[in-house]
Amino acid sequence: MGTVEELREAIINGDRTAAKNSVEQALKEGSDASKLLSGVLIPAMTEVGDRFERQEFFVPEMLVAARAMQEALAVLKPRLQAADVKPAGKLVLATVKGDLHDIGKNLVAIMMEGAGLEVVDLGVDAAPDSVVAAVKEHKPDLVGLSALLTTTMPMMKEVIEALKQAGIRDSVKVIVGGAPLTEEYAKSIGADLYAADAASAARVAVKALGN
Amino acid sequence: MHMQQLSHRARVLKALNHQEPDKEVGVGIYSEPQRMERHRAFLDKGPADRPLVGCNIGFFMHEAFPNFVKRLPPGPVTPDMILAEPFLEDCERLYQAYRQLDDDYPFIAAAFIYVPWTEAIMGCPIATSGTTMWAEPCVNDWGTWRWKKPSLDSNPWAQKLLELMQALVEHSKGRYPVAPTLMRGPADMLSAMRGASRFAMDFLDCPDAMRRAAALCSELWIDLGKAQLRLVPRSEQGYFAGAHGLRFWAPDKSIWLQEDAMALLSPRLFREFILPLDDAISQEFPYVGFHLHGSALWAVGDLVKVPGLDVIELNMEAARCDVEATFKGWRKIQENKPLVIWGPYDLEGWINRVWREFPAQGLSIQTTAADLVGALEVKAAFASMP
Repeated sequence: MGTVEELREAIINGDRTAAKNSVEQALKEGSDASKLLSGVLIPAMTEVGDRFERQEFFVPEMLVAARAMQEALAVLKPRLQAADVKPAGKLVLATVKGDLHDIGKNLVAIMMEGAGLEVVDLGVDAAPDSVVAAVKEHKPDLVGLSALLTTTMPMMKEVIEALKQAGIRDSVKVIVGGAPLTEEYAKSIGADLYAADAASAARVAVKALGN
Repeated sequence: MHMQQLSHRARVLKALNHQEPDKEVGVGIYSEPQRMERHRAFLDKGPADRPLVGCNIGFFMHEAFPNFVKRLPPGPVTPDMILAEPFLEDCERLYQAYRQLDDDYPFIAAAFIYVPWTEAIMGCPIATSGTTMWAEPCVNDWGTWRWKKPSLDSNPWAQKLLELMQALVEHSKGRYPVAPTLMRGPADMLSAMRGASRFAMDFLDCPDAMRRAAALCSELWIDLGKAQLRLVPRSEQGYFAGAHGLRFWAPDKSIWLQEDAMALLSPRLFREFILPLDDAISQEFPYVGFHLHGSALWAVGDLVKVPGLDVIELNMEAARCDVEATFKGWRKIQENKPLVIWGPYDLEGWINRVWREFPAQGLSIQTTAADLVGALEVKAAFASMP
């Protein structure tokens, strides 16, 4: 098995030590950092997402795969920055105010990064004002909102209203998701995009960005 | 020794010493033979002309227990902030409301179910927003964690739970059943102790530590369940398990188990680490109900094979996601065990379909309303079902 294939396998299998070693070895062998990102890391995480959707992988496998990718990405990052490689897009991501559940949001962040997007993670319990401030500061392409509770779902609409009031609603696409949500609900609150799970969130985002 | 001869504290101490503190206490609903016959038939999956139906009054903690909640400021919660008096005031109001409602289920009281008791006893800091309560992680590293099962004799959360339960027994005076509180199982305890993401990864990163920690949580769960059941007055007419929501009756003492965090695991990890413990827990109690969410439908096939689980409840989730898969899960459960369905009130939707498609034997449909008026409407709607 070649180094590149080892790197791919290490990420899919969630072996962070092997991922770090393989990416370092690949760079030593002369591989290009941006090609490793677009040709190995991102496809490996896409494969992880596909296996998740096929119910071959579950949350633990997805989390350790993401952790392995982060290890590899940390090695690549200085070279990517030096080469001025741009992310595929930028996402401001938050679990809405009143909701402290982070695992769904974290999985979305993992899959978005795995798809080559830069993620600005506002954490949990994020108030509409903080989302508006982050959009003004980071100028993302997308705003991702997550909620696990039926009681906190309505806060998504409040965030969208806050973006409207701040005059920046049209500058971003809003993608919403979370266990209690449906596509109908997403439409009813004026969201642009809906994702049923983390893997499809990345796919929907990439499609919306036209990449 | 009769109930009135023991002090409140003495009864808790007796329960901790593995003794049943009180003699039999009669509860009103048990003396209604027709009603009890329906519950017995449900458990036996015997003939029934209709499913059992029930509506709980108030779902969120501020709806059901406003007196108690308004005395609980948002932020960290400690055992001394759990006040019996406002809680009992709310229970009295709920008891009266359930008497007016008069559906298939009585008001069943348990120590304030919104506290994550098992997680708190294991060391998780507890906090509230005023509408919900949650447990925060307490284990940063399994390598440095104190591997010791908390003692119910000295743990302040365990003491508070048992004192609150004893206060309920005394307040009830046999008017309503008192049951163990909502107790999340080993998976939920570990998820709270480590945080959801680390919990999920730990099963792959450090399986031995997780196996040991899960076993310890399971032992604590059994200790706590048994201590609470010892406080439940003996009753020849049987016992209700659950509180203010999921409910079932059994001829012997009964308890609910749940593992919501199993949804974060794979079927393989659940079967290897958690299912054997749930099996062992179920063998320690006379009757056990298992509460399940739609996020772990894959576990239905495993759970129905656990002989010690007497009743299985599977939610209709509020978002109505995976409806067909949920119906399939309900069918699988009902083929094997008495089935409780709990879900948001939707007479024209899932309730109507369940009523039409499912046999009444071994079926209980339970839903919720924000207040008594809503619950009476639900009862009237159920009564009009063909």
